[in-house]
Amino acid sequence: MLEKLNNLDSRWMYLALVIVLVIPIIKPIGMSISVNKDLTQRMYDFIENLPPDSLIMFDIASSSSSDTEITPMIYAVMEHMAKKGHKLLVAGQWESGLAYWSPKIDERAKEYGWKYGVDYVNIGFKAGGTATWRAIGQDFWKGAVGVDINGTPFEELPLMARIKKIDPETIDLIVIYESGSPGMETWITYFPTVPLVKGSVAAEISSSVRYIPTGQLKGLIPGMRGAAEYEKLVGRPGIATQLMDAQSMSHILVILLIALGNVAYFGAKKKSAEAR
Amino acid sequence: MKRTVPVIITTVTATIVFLSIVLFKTDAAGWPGQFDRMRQFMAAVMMFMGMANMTRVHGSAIRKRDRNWMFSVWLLVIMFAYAIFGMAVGNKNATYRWIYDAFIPPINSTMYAMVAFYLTSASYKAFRAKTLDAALMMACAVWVMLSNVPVGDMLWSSESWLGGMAGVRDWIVSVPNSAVSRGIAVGTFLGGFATQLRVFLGIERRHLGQG
Repeated sequence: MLEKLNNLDSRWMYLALVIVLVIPIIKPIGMSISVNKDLTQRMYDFIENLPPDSLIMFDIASSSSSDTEITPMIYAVMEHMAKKGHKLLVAGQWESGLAYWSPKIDERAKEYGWKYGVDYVNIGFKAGGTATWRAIGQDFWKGAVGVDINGTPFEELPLMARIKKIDPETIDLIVIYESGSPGMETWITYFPTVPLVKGSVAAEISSSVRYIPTGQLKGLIPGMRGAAEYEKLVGRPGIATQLMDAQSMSHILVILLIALGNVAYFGAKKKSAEAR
Repeated sequence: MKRTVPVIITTVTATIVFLSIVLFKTDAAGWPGQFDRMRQFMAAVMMFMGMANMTRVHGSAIRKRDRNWMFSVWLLVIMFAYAIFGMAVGNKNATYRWIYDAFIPPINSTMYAMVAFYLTSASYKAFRAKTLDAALMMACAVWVMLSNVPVGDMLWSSESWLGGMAGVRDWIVSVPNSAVSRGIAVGTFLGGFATQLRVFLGIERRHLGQG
């Protein structure tokens, strides 16, 4: 029995995972979610305390593989911005991610009645890495080649008239949605004076938290759990809230499997010691 | 000559940028900015170099009929067909965009989602308290996993003593984790700086094909 358990076929685990993920999605349990005061609440408070008509820049530094975590974060922050009347500038250090999320951002902006060029602008991907961002920081129009994602000249986009460089007087907050490199180091290294917050995939949380006590990050949305917390704060539960039950169940399954694996391991070890 | 010229260019460029930033506090408007713009151009040129290199490597695999050479054919056909199509119709073309959007995001998401399955079976097979270190790591992992989901709040509420499961998790992540993470970051930086210094001074030449 212990031998069998020790060599449990992975396919049984895969099947169990599918079951525990699917059932709560079909029939949600509705567990309550508490808000992380050191991370999510800080980010919410920072945006909440910005004066209306502030300019917030989104930096998409992720790929579509992180859709489940990043999309609800983007939506929740946009909801907050819509309530506070902030303006949005969309950019991205990852071309594939920007291409993926741009239509979603457009769709949400449409829902809020935001006018393109007036309430938000998407400058698109600009090749060249940190060198390009340093150039954009010094002279936004020249560094970003003077056109948005659709090739529209900045002169035709009224919002761009107030964006001449990247500094705290121009951009009130940078929100980076990150799942790898290049990411927040670009902003921390070259634009340390511009306030920065981060929407982070779960795998990146442990390496990001260290920037909170130093003030280099003003707040952080930690993974899908953080997205659910932000949805709660803005009062519009979305996909992250719906998926929290499934995530709870999957974590419980993994913990049970770890316990079972240890029982099997130590049981087999004891048995072999007795046999000797 | 083949190796001396790149070393001279590297050393001279690095010296100018370093002195401009550190001594004269000039940034993007000055010499470093000029180099940044050159780098932007070079990044675009590197795409073509990347394509040329891919063609050379996979072309050779096809010629020699290496194992899985058919995948090399696929790679070259797709790479050139998509690049030529993109250059012909422009990157704003709806079909060009659809091809990318219809393939890359689903493939990306599928690959990432599969990790959850491997992680589940790996946690069963690898997380075993064979030593004290392994037991500590396992305990931390279980704690962080539980406290990251609502069920953790149900077991030990964040409104109660020590901030509940989430409070202890935050301490683990913010204190021991941050301390180690910062240590690693400083070590990585020093290692990177030392390597860059060796490149600047022309001591490190392996990237030029010379030890």
